[in-house]
Amino acid sequence: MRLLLSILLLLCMVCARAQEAVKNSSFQDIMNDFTALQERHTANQVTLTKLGSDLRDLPKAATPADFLKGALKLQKRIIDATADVQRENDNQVLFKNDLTLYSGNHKLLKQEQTYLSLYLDNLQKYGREQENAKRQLQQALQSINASIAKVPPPAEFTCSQGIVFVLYSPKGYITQTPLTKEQYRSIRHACSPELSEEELDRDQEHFVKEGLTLSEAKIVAASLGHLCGFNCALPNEEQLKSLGNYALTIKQALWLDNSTNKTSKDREALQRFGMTMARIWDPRACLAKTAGKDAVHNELPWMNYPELGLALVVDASAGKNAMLAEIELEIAEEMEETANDTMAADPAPQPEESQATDNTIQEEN
Amino acid sequence: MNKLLSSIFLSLLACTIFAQQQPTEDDGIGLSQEVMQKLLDGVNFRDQQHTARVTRCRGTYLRTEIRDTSSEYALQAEIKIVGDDRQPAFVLKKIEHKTLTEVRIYEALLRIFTPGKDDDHGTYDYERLDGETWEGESNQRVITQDAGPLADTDVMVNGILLKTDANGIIHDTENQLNILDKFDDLGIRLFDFTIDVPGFDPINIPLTRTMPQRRQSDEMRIEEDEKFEILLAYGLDFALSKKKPEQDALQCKATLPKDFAFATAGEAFPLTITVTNSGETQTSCLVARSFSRIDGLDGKLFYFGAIQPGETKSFTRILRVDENEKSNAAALEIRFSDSWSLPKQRIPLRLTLIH
Repeated sequence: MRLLLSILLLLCMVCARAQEAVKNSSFQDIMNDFTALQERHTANQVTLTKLGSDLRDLPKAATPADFLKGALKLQKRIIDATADVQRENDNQVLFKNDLTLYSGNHKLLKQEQTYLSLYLDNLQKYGREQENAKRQLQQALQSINASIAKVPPPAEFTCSQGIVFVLYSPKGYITQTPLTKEQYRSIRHACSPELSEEELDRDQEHFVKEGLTLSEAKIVAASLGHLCGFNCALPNEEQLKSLGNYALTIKQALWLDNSTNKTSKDREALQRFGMTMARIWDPRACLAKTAGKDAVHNELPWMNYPELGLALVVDASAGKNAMLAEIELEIAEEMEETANDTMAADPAPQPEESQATDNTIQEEN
Repeated sequence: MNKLLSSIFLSLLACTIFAQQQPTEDDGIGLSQEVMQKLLDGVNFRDQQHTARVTRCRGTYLRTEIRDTSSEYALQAEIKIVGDDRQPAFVLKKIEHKTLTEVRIYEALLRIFTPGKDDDHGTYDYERLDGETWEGESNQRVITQDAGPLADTDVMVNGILLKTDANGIIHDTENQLNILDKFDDLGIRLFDFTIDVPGFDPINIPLTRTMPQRRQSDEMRIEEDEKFEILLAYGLDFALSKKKPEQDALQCKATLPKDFAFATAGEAFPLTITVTNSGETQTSCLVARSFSRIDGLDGKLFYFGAIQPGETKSFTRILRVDENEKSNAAALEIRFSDSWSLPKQRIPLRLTLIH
């Protein structure tokens, strides 16, 4: 999209410039344009140098949170820098076209010819430097992204509905407790704001006194996922292996995702009678004193009990994304504060002339 | 010495003659006094060299006499559907094997051979010996007959102590045998029951449930006996129908006892499924099954087989909510299947449960 927009902008500018060039353009304008272009290129090079230095300092962050914050900031700066470099590259192309048009429309003096040659040589040089910079920025971005990906998910996070998810394995989170009546009400209210308080009260009472059927549980899971922006589901039997300690904390049986029928008897029942049973997990023997293997039982999907609740699982990326989103919000707030402070302070001094520097951005260790 | 030998010889001769003259009761060889007299009075002996020979022989058959009778008792079992809930039960009856030792009785005849030219040629004359009979061959004959039900007797069925009633029916009010439960696994078609009764040999009953499965052939195996086939005992027809049944025309319902208000954990109760065929084709191998989390309610098969158009059939199972169930509700769902496909009918049931 950015590329398309750039091409469109370029075309418009070319047309506009062409028109302008045909009108009354003087060599002085050309010189001014080149000077501005040169200054911007130099500024970009300084930015790139700073980026390289900051990238090298990133691993020295005191805490993982600081590291992540620094990485996200750098990521944004790299993206902005890449855009700036690309923009300058486009400007240079336009400038080159202007030069071509000017030399085509005017009879050049010797001095003007010399300047034009010099400008063209510099444009070539700037073009090579920009290509190099873009390549290095891309590598830096990949490196930053890899570093961010390696950061482990937090031990817990709170979704936008105020429900706390705890990490049960490196692969995912589960709600800290089976859904409480308050959480259930909150989800219902968020999904159906048209419901009155009385209706919500009735709903909540039904949840407490009678529990939810499997389809109702799945709807709640989908609703929460929709509200929070990640996939939310019922736990499956594979995940139970990692939920051993969680079993000690719950006081209800839980609905499980019933995508598979395990035993051959179940499969035959499904084939011969078309019946798919749901699965529940009852490690605390809330519904029956005798527990099945791993305390997993078949259950009728339309059945509900007050002793049968639901816990929701999400992928580990949800927690990490929440953490990243939080940090990005902090960064945005900081930047806003900084911008406000900058506007209130004295105007910044003129940028110094650029120096020919080695702008190689070294990879982090 | 010669004199002694002669004396001994003459004595022996006299004894022989004397023995011949005494009537005997065996083999019909000896002659009675009456016969001897006849001989002496009427027989015209030619001379000592052409003596008439008289023997006793068998005449026509008169009757058969039973000389000895002995009885042995055995038990016979069968499966029957009994009670208001129409549940399978074993019925025991005694069988008497009566052994009769019989003898065939014939007339006794006197056969008189009168020599002709010589001793080898002559004539036979027969005279009936009134008052005398000839005993012929003996044999034993066994008569098997029903000796009535094994009433009011303690029996052990697969190790479970039960009792028969006055009709020989083994009562299992607590459904300890769970006969139908043995066949709730669709893969099981035979289950052995052994009945032990004191004083009798154990009876082995190879109970079968032959239900055509999805494959084409369903041949009876050598160990299966129609009299121990449960579905036949119920009078159900599980032959495959060639015409597709109208599954949508089936009306199905579940019935509990009239006074049933709630289920009690640990106590049995009957559940009857009734199917009415409102269509124009018969059903084919129709069965139903219960599905539930609770073991005592799950996996129970209800058999219907072929239901003719307009006909209604019911089948009852005895269910029991496990004592370990803690919740206050017990639920099950009934689903149907036939030899063609899956009927859409389903019956969800939710019962209040008390402990």
